[in-house]
Amino acid sequence: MIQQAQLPLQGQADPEVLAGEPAEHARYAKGKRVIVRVHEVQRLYRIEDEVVRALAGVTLDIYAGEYLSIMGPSGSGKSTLFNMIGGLDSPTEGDVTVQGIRIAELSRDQQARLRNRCLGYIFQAYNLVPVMTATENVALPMLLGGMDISDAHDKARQLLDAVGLGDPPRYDHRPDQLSGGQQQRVAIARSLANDPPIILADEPTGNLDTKTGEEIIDRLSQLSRDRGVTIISATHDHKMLSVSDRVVTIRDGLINKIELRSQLDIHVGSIHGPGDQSSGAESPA
Amino acid sequence: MQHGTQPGNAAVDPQTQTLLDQIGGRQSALPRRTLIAMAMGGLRVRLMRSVVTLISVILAIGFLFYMGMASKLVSNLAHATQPPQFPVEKQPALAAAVNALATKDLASQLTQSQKYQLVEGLDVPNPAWALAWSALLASLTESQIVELHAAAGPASSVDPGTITNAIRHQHAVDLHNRLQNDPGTWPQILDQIPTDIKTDLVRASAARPTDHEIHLRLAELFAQDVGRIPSLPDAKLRALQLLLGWTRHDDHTRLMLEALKSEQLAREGIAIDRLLRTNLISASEQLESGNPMDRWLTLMALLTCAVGITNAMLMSVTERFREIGTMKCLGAQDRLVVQLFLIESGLLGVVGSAAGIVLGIAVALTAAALQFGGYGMQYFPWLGGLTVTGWSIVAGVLISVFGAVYPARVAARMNPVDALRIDE
Repeated sequence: MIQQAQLPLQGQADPEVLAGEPAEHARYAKGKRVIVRVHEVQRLYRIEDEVVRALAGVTLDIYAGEYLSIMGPSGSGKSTLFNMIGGLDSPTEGDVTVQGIRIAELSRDQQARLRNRCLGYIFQAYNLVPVMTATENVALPMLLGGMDISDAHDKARQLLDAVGLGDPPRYDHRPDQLSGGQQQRVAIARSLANDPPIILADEPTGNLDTKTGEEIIDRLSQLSRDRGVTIISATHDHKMLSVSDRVVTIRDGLINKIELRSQLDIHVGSIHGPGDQSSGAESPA
Repeated sequence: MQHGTQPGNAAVDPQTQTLLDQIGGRQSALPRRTLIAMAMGGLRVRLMRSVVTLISVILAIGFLFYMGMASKLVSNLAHATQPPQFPVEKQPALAAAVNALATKDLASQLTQSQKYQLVEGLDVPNPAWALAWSALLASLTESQIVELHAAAGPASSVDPGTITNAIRHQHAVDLHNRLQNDPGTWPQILDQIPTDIKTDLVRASAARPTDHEIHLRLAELFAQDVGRIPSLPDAKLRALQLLLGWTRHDDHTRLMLEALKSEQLAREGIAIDRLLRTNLISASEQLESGNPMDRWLTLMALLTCAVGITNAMLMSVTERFREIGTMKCLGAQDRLVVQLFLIESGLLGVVGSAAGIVLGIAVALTAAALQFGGYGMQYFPWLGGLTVTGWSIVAGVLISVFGAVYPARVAARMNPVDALRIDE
């Protein structure tokens, strides 16, 4: 049986990285439940004889229901942090706790089930299973979670309706028969399949044109509002940043800045993000 | 910074407890129907690769099936009825002939054209033909031979009496030659012949005396046993005489042995042409010697097939890094990924084996018809083919599944991150 994490983990980030007054951040956090806790996480990679430190001790609390964006230049450790939160990678040092469960303590299968139940994924390249129809793609996480196939398909259609693929119906289209925006909407429907409390969106607008990207962003922020889903996205899309409750900037494996939306508006408006100077060099991974 | 998170916050969270129950619960798996549908989808989307892999399975299993059927066919032909009763280990040729010629209704079973062929066949200096002819003659009375000759039509100008005598003469010459070459052999051979046969042999020699000294010598040798033995049908006696003549040539002996392996074949031997006999014998030899070359070929075909499938499945894994990574992100357990790949290649194995068997039947039938003519069809191992079919399917599926085990493990053990990092 898996034990809950008993250690009184510290999730507070270093006050120095908080933009504006620490009190503002405290006000923001007040009464919020921590859903993901990243504590002193380091991740080292060994590339040939050189040890690369992708994350050099990151501490962060993510609150239930918030819309959090992680940004940073290529190689900053942004993707690594993202993967840590998603349970796709394990830390060399430190702990990642999701819903009070320390991921490192889970077996591979348990991690798989945690991802299945607790986390929805949206990828930059949509990552739909090419051999499956839209309905089957959306139903897949439900089937993996043990749901009956006809129930899963019913729910999948409802979700497709909810993301606007019900009229005209795109249920039985395969990914190669759908446009990029449609595929990404299928992916959003799929990420909602098991009603996960957390959705991870990795550059969800990266492969889309501005208009379609905005549609996707609207849907995500709407989800966050309506369903109380925690959305964690890695992005450098400024539109995306502007709808975020908080923006975390990563640089050189450390948190460089944590900003609240109000501070974003004050300092840079909705056009220029904090990681602006290097966002052009962002790799699409 | 201060916020509302207490250390114990997570521990009391009911959502956490629910989640813990869910992920700690029993293994969930996709329904088999879904798995098969996914595997078939995978095969369909990567059609070209699937078809190439399928062809390798078809060829390998077709070859395996054909080899199995060919060996069964030869076995059927060689062992069409019960084995000879005569002490085989001492003089196989004699034993085979004597047992074969126990059948008396030889003549009644021949068609007119076969009879005609028989008479004509005498002109051909072919041991198999001669043997068959002698077998016929031996089973006939003098009047039947005349009848036969008449039936063969006016085209045949050979006098039956001459024929018999010619044969006898020929064998007498052979025996004589043999005696001259190796006089020590005769007593040995005679020792192995039952006394009653010897008696009749002597009687026969006496009944149709020739001026050849070999018959006299024979008579002398056999005379020692005369008087003790009841008579034996002329048929066996004469066949024996004939055989004794042929034993000089080792290959002829073997030829006769093979031809007369069973009564059935002996009876039909007349109609079996030279080609059939030659093929039958060589095939039979292959069968008896364990046929290492064919086994080697079959093994190589199966190995090649296994390597091909492994390669194709590895390619399939590589092509699908992203898909596998995605599925893992969505909560697919390692076991599921393994299942998916094994089902996919198992499907290839089943379909490939089935098609391979169809191909194998076609090849085996064609080969049987070409090699053995009507007898190939008559003795085609339809029933034995069921066993071969079973084995072929088992082999095809096993090879396919084993070929996919390693790629499936590679796929299952990939970290989702690594799988997703691959750019397509």
